[in-house]
Amino acid sequence: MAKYFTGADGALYVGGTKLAKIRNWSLSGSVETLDVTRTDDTARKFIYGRQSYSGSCTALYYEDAAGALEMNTLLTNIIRTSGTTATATATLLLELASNRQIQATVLFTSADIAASTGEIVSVSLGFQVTGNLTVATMGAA
Amino acid sequence: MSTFPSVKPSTRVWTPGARAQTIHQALDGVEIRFVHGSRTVGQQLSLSFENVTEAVGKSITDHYAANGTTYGTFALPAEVFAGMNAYNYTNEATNAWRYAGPPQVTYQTPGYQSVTVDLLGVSA
Repeated sequence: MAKYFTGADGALYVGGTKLAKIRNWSLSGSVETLDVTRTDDTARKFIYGRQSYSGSCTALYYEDAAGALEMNTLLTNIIRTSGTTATATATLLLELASNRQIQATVLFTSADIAASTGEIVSVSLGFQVTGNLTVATMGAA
Repeated sequence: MSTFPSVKPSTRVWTPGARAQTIHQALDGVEIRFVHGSRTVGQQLSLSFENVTEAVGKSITDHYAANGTTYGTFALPAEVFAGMNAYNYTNEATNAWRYAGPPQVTYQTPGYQSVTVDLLGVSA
């Protein structure tokens, strides 16, 4: 059956745990190009080089019934009193359906917490993928 | 005399040489020059090969090694002058080339490398 996807289909998992209070996520991928133009070419020629991915998500600042911050795995490497462990990474899974996923190891690189009158406190996070994607069925046929 | 690998460069910078000569300058500033040969020597040719495969890059460094590094002289194939309709004035038949120094190899993307070589024109 033909199907369009909407924001309601989106989900975000960190370390295998689905985060319930995600407002949005986005991922941007790019591939660098290598210039292979030679002196007798009249137009520039390129080949593919390395890939890179980065993205962002917005989560609602939410404590569960036990008072635990659900999104602490997203914030713990940025909002802290000591230096970030250089090798600290998280496994992030972005999903539209069980057969439409992107999984990668990421470093969270930014966190913006905003509290405004009349609004729910939310956190906007930026992340950088390290290494290749480990699941990329979102781009499959 | 060997021949440089048949690889088209990404950029080519040529500096014309000069004829061998000695200069004598008098106290009053008058200058006298004596030309010692009929050939132009000391041409400089800088070639860069951007993002070539490992095999192509190795063919250049292998040639450098097999050529006795900066010792031996060699000829340049037409590919080195790709893009020029006439290049005999930059590659005179009576001259040969020698490595001015070791090639510089930059490794970046897996499987590809960039190589730069500086050559010196010599009378052959």
